Amino acid sequence: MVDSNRLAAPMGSLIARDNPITFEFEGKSYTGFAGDTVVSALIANQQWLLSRSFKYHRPRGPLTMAGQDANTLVQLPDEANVLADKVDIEQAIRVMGQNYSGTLANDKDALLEKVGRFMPVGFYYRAFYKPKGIWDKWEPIIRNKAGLGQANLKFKPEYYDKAYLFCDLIVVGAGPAGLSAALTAARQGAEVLLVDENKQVGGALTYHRFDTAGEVADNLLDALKAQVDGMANIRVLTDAICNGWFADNYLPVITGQRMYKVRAKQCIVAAGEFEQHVVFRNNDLPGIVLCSAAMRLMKHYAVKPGNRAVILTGNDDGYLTAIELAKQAVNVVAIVDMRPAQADTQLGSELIKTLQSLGIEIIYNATVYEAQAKQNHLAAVEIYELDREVKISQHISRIECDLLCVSSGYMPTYQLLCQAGAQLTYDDASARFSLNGLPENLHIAGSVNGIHALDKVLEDGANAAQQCLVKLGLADVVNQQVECDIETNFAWPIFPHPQGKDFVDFDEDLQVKDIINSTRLGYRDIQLVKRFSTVGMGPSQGRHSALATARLVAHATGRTVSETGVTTARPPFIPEKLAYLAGRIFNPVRHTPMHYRHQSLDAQFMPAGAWLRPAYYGVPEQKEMLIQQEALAVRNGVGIIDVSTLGGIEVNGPDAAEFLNRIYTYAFIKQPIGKTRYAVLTNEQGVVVDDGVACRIADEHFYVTATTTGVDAVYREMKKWNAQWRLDVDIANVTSAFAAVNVAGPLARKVLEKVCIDVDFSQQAFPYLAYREGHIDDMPVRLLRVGFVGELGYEIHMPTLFALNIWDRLMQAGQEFAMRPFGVEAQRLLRLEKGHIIIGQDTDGMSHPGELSLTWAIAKSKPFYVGCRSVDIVMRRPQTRKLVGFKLDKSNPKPEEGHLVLDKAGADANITGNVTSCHYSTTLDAYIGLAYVGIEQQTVGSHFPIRVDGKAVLSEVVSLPFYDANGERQEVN
Amino acid sequence: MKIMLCPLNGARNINEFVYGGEVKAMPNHQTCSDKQWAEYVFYSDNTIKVVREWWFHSASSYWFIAERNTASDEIIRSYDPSEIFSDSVNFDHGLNHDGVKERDNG
Amino acid sequence: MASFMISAEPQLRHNSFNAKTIDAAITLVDVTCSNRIGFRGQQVATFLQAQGLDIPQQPNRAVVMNNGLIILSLSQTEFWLLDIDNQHRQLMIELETLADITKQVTRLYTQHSQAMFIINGDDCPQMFAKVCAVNLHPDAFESGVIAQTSVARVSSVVVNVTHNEQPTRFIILSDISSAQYLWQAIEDAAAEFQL
Repeated sequence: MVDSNRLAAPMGSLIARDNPITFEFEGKSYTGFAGDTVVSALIANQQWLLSRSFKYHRPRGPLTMAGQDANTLVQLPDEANVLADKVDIEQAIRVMGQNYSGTLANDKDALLEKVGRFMPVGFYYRAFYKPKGIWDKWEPIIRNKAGLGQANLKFKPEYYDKAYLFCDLIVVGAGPAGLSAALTAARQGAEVLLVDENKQVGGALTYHRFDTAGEVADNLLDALKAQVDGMANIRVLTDAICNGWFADNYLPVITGQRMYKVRAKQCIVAAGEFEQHVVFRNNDLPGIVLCSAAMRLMKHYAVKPGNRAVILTGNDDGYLTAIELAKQAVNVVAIVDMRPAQADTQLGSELIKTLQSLGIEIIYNATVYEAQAKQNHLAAVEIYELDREVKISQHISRIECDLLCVSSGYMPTYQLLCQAGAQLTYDDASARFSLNGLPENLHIAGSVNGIHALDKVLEDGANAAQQCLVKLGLADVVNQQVECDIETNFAWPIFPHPQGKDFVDFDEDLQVKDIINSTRLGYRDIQLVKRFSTVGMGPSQGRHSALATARLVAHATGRTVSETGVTTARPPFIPEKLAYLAGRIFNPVRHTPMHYRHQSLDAQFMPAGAWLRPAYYGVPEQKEMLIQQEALAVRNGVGIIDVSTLGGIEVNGPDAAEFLNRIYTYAFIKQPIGKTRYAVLTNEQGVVVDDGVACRIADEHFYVTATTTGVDAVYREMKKWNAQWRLDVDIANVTSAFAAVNVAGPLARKVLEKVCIDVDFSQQAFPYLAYREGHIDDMPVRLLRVGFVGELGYEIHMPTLFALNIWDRLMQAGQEFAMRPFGVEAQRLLRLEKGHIIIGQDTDGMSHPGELSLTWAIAKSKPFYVGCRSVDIVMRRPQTRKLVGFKLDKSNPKPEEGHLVLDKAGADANITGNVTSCHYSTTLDAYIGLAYVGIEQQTVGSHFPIRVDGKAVLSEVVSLPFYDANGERQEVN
Repeated sequence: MKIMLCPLNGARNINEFVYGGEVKAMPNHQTCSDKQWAEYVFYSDNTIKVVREWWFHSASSYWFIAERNTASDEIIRSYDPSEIFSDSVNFDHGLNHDGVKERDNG
Repeated sequence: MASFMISAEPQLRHNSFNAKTIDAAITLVDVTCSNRIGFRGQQVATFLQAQGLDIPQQPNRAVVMNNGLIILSLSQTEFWLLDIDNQHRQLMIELETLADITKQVTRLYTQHSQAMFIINGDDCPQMFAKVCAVNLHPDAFESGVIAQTSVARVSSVVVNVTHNEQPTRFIILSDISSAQYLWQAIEDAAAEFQL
């Protein structure tokens, strides 16, 4: 274990030196400390090479040490594409690199870089498709090369869940601005949620040097931390990322294995800024890091980032970094400042003096133009002078070094704010983007708001909180805005090199010429540049490329940077595991009261909306036979089916009949008490959308059934109509209040007579379509004589809490008659034999009553029903199709639902309709079904072709019903 | 996720509600032309303005009306339908059956 | 047909789902079969007050009477009576009979259409935050307040019946057909808090 790179305390705020941990990277063993990330532990062991870049397979090491770049993506056994600078070594025992062929150190695919000139920007749009058919050869190769990590397909899902979190104020970012804001708000009584993506609060206070002496940050951090700990109404979530902004301050915060869905009355984003790199040749070598990355390595992990360092900077932060490096015994050879010499910056003279005392050379008006590598690591930089137009001029020197710290300026963390509708405008003088146009209840503070001086940052946080307090009604006045004139951004840190490899976007291996060439090809809008070149589309989503691209495209197209802008920010902010979205999923399931009885009878369940219904009873291998047997049991003896899922609506009141009269097509005003009527529902377009049976229980009391999946919408529409009509009526959805069974078959009456002794079941006393009420063992029941399956049948509706007892009673009573439970499949077959249409099965989005032969169910003399005018209009038009019954011999191929009906059997046939239902009927020993046919094809006895698996099969139109045409089985008369 | 103001239940996530279309006055279905009827059934305005919309709170089965700005998506206010539907509607032959109180213009 | 009494035969009631009482930091008890009745209509408030019942003055409120009866107002015109300890069966039968002949009072089927659970424990609001989008913490949801909302994606009525300084106590009513599912969802959400 080589760990001589560790710095002494107080460096290393995140590591526990008394807790060493061993892990593997690329099969080699390394040791770090608890609290180390994979990267910090590797760099402590001088292992900088972490990955190979996407396109050119260039060697890459960390850039930000903050999970903001994609160079650190590694493979864990159960997870691909993990940011090695965010994952602790405790959780990452076996780590591998990604995207290489051979070894990480010796990637054979690095040869791709040599043929880079054959892969200009967007080349894949113009390659791989000629000659015809060549794509089939290319695709597997490209698939193999594309992507980064490997998914472990044997991975066992873990428990992820979600929870709502409510607060008065959410502060996103616990740096100095966020801490100040949280404290200000909490002191005035607000309930505050403080969220930070890091393991500790403090933000820049944990790594940035704000003063030459380097004391300010630590002291302030300790003070603020203690104050936050002392406030009971500040809840702190660390290791938590606010991953998007949604309407009305609805914010997903992901942490651990939970997504918090935060609803905050007020929101302050104090999420800081992204430090930006400089564009020069080979600016992506391992050993080239952002200044803040070097600071994090030292302060968080006590890791010495190198031995010989050069700083390349466009602001004073580079200087402060130099001081820290020198303090940690790094040989800082030179500071290369892209700016001209200036003595009057805020920290200016004091800084210069300190650096002079440390013996660090400052080279003004200069830049690194090219970096050079040895064994995949930075070895030297070439320094060039900049002329007045910030263009490369004279060569100054070549400096050998193993560390280059870079800072050209900052880009505000704009993503959440732009998702909320804020605009980014660019100020040419300060070379900065700033945010404005924030929606109400969303505020920004700190460096994201362009404030950098520490005392002003604290004030800015407090001001934002004050605005929130006023909105929350906890304070009266807002404060004066703060201004900050510290210059942080160098206007043009872009130095394109004739030999290229001057990267604008590290994720996508895009060089300056790639961006420029996109504009030359006509892609001038930033959105088009993005999509053509893929800039900003990699894992870091433009964090380091958006600013440089905006500047380049502006310059290339003769517009301002403000006009050019950046591409649309969309959630998620960081890559979001599907587990966060999926867990814990809620899928309601509805059971009838008899559910567990069906289970013990080996029911095979099928979904009907959210309900589970028995499709048939028995083993799947015998499915067809069982369905036929169940149907025959109904025809020859008696069967029982659970129809509890059927919708039920109660309509009560003086206007009950009038209300139903307006909703359904049929007539209800004069419906006699104790009788049922078929109820057809059309929508305002005249399309049949539901059906059921209406029972008149009393003058002012109706009980109407509806389809299982339609009832909720029917009920909703009924209530909407009455909100307008204001009739004196109460409408209740009683679907769940009543369970129901249908006992059907020639022996049905016998079963009912055994259990329901207070009702006269004789044909005279209880005729077809009548409604009666009675009791089974003192439990009240409603009885309907309906005939959907074409046999003598009774539907028993019972209050749900009595249903199980009544089912058991019926099953017991039915034993002597060999009563057989039957399921939805058998019921479908029986209904089809009787020619009954099923709404949604035999009807579609255009089916009007005429097509369905339901005009008998329209009461033409009544003044109104929903859709009446539309039905009238569509019925006056020439009709195009009709739903008819058809039959064909079972030796034919079986038509299925959806098969097309043609006007003739030949090659130039036209489609005139489609099959909606088709089953084999044992009773008729043939295939029977319903189909839409052309209006000229509806004649009974004629034949029409159905296209079954490419062949035209002739079927005969028959009149409905297929079975028991006179209704004798149902004892209709 | 947007918040909707329900007159009965207060501020709730919008996924607790079902949208019911714009509040539209039904023309006299017995006397209007086919074209007028088709426009009533199928057309909606698509302009920037404050619209009146039907909204249904699923858990309480409660219909109400909300006024919303179609550009800013701001819910301005919501109220019980009785505010504009006050009289019961009759469908007798020949009579106008529009029970909607017109909004004040201005 | 007044013979059709849904308040009848409480001893024959059977809830068909598995809901074994959970007794832990968060306690979960199924009381679906206890007496319950609801009424809706323009005259309901008057009707109930005439029977000496103490009804809430605004919608989405609950009153716990001294005799143990809980009265919920779900709207200006809809009220439910909960009799968890089954002491008031006679009253409910009388009300149901009377409602049948009273104008603008319609008897509802809540006895049979709803499942009902009682949930006890100070962690209830936090537990509910895992299944419900409405803030049920004490500062936002006081005793006596009702939330009609979605819990684990099923429509539910949540009532805060916490008494004085006692542990938080919620009643939840939801569609009986998804009771098994809801029971399991709440059990799962509570697991994290159970001792």
